[in-house]
Amino acid sequence: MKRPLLLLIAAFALAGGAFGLCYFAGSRVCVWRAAPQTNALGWLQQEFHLDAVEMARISALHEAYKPVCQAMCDRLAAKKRELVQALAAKSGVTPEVERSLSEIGALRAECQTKMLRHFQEVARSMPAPQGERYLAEMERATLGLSIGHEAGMDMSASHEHP
Amino acid sequence: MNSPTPDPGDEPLRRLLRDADLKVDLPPRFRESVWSRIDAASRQPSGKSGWLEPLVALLFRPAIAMAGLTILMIAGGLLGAQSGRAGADQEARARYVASVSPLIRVSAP
Repeated sequence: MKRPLLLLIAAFALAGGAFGLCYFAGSRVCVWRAAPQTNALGWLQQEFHLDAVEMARISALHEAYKPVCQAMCDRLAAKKRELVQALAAKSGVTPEVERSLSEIGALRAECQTKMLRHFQEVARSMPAPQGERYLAEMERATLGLSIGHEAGMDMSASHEHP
Repeated sequence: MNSPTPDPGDEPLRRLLRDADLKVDLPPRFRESVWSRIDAASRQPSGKSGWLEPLVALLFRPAIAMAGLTILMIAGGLLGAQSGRAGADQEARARYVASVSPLIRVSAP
């Protein structure tokens, strides 16, 4: 009575193991095959089906934008360090904290403006439908548009503070 | 347990056994014990393992076992590849976005 049941359990375990092993192997092979795409622009070319001429144009734009992006990163990181130092004093929202926050806000806006300009330039270097899709995706990914709680907010609902 | 009920058709066998020149002393209630074991053995397949044994026998047929295993392995490989492709794509996309967004790069740990 017990032997057939044990055999059945063993068969299911073997089948599950074989399935799991193949699932893991299939997944690893795909990740490994995608690994040469380490260049950040590789995804862009594959996702938006860009040809060599379009890619050359976009690569040039990307290379030109890199130092701008790096400079913004450095300035933003420095401002964040200032804010952390001001907050470390634990004296509440001092004028220094306030100033630091507003500078970070201004810097964020400047970053977003430069990013948007770059995205628009890149989008113009693609065929129109891909360009529109690229722009929408980048705006969503970097500016937080149409995602998160703001998108799900019921704007007609009353919003009162105590 | 039910008491053993000898088949009346077994009379010739019983007569033969009775007439046989037995050299060994059988334990008491030997015949009843034999019949009771036969009875118990004949009842067993109608229990829970009634469907299990044929199922196991079917699954363990070489052709069916190989076919099942092959299908499972192919399905596992394909699903794994699909999942790996989606993961790699997400990773590549995130890499590109991080390369163009100072806001994401600075807020990353």
